[in-house]
Amino acid sequence: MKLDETELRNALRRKPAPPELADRIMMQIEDGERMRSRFSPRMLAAAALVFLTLGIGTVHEVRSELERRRGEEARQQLLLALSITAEKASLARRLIGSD
Amino acid sequence: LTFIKETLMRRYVLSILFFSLAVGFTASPLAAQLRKLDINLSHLESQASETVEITLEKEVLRLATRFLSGQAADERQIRDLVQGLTGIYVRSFEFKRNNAYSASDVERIRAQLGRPWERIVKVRSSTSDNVDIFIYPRTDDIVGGLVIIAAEPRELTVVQILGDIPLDRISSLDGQFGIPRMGLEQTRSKGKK
Repeated sequence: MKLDETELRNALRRKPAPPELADRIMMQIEDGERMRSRFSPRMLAAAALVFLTLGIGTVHEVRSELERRRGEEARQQLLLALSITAEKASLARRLIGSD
Repeated sequence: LTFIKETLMRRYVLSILFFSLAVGFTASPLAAQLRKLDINLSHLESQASETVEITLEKEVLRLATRFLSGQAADERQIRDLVQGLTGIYVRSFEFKRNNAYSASDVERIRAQLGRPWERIVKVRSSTSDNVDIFIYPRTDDIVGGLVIIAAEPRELTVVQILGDIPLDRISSLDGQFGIPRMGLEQTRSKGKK
């Protein structure tokens, strides 16, 4: 395809920017600055530390709770086992006594 | 000279290690023999109205003792008693009718209790309540294991406790926590059957 001079000139002619473009660009720049000023690196680091501490704390708490449940279950089983043992030993004594 | 010294030192350390291992193996030959019984009676579960299956290995026992109250005297004594144990295994079945289990179920377990186990109680009653108590007498004061087989018309219970059970500690539980005196010392000395 070949462009003649008039077409080329038309294509390269300066066109005025849409009226709202400058406002949009300025708004985006302001938003970026506002975000940067709201979340300074220190604040981000502090937030990360808080989240990390909360995360570790939660994991520790969940593990402790699981351990407590396992321990309590084991304790109940131990007491039941000893109680059955005692009951059967008692049965033996009773039978021996009744002979 | 340094090389010779190093070689000698290495040999010395190795021989000490070897000796320690050898002593370790020979010191506990019976403990090694004292294996967990095969008390798998799962085929009775479908007929049982109530089943209790408890398996407490060493680590779970340690965990359980941590959760026993240090305040209550009976729980403190149980904690002391359990400290030397390496396992507690209980299988108990309750049935709604008589003869739900066969004699061979019981015999299969009794057959595993040869030496070093020693039967200290054998009760065969007219009401068909049969109880056997076996112990592994490790020393005069310490029992290395205990097995109770209680075969009643509508109930079959097998208990195996492995590990060191000092007889005086069993006696100290007398009447506490619903654990009656087992009279192992008396029974052993009288050879009651």
